[in-house]
Amino acid sequence: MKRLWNLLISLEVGLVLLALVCIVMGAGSFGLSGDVATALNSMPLFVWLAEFSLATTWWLWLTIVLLALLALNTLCCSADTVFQRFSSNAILAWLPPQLIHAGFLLIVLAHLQSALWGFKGAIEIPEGAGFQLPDGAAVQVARVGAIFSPMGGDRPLGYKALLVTQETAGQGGVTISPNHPWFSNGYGVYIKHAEPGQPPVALLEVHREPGAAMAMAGAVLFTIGNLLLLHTRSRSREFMLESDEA
Amino acid sequence: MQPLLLTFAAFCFFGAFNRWLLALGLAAGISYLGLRGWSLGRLPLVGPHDTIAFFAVSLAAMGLATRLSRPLRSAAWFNAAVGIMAGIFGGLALIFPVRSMPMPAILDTLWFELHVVLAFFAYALFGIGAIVSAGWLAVRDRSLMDIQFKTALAGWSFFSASMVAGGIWGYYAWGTYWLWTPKELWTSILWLFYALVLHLRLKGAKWDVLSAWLGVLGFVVTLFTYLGVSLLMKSSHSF
Repeated sequence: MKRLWNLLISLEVGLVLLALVCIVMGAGSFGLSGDVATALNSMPLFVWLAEFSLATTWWLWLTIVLLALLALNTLCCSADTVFQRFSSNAILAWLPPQLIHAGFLLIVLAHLQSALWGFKGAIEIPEGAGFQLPDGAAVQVARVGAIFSPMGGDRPLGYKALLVTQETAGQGGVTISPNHPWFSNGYGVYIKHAEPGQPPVALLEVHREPGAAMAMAGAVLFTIGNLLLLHTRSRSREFMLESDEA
Repeated sequence: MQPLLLTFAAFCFFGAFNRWLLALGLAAGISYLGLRGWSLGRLPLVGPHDTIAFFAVSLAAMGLATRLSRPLRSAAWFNAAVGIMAGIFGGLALIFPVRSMPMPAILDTLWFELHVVLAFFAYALFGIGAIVSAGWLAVRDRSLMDIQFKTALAGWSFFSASMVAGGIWGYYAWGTYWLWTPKELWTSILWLFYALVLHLRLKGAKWDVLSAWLGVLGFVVTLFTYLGVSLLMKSSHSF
């Protein structure tokens, strides 16, 4: 049991896993193009993994296994440090890396959550028509338009659409544009493109990222830990340099 | 405006032996970026010319800042290496055409600007780390490994913050904080690579040789992530 624990908290194991994840992801990146890549970004990860053959997906399966082991190694290392040093006064010496680890673990969990229970859908819809979100909410696309630079030019910088729903009807609808989606019950409606015509047609995407909140929490924890680590490490180095000189 | 960038590249490259010339070059580089940003009405961060120029100026700035640390104050080799590296990238920026197009709406957000600026500060620090690592391999002065660790840690921190900003931007722009593109994969590889470099430090001085070589290799991974993916691989997420 002790040997297994030592293996789980081993720094060497962590280093090897980090190196292997880099190598496997690097190898996989060279095959990530064409229809396979398009499909990967148009559906949740585990749906894609189930749909394509192992000859295409091997590197991502391997990455997931290695990341799972790395997450376990991270969790065990942090648990070991917290158990051993919890009562020590030098909290700033051991806490920042554990916050970074906690942030990393939350982000990995967030990816897993989105990969399992996420939703991605696309729809081409003419102005004036409507569609339903997966939860049944009705959305009408009242207007489709383009965004042009105030300095002129005939190429649009982006597109916009006026959406009218039961929620937004009171305020005359809500306009979506790049970086300004509309959210309802965890679903986000995004405008990707539009084609002029009579009527103009919008390409909309509907996404659900159940891991987004957890990823944000992880990012906040990670950033706090990172800032504390920078603060403590720079102070300890300066102290060491001054001690050396003394 | 182009002569300012040329001045930057020339002062960095040919004046690399002198920190004051390097500082003058940096002033010219910052002036170039400032004027270009003013003419565009935004930070110049789109397209190969602007991003390489921003990277080159970041390299010179981070190099001069790192030079303030005690072991490097009198290290002429460090000054020269930083200047030559910044000068090369400044010159490379001049090869690419200057495009003054309006910002596509998808990029018109603070999260995009933060994402790119922080990433270039990180890339620059990884470059400085590579110079310090190479310096350690040549002279074996342990204090250089402390600086290598600091640059890697600061660079990794900037890079992590850049990834957070990129994730937030992606969530509002594309509906997801993560896309499976070669650029994002290599971004993760770079982040994990420097996580490895930082953890290797815990193994102690016996591992300094490997640490130093990884510090040099890290800059190769950085350049591939930044330039290689954009120029050699098909990715929707590139300049």
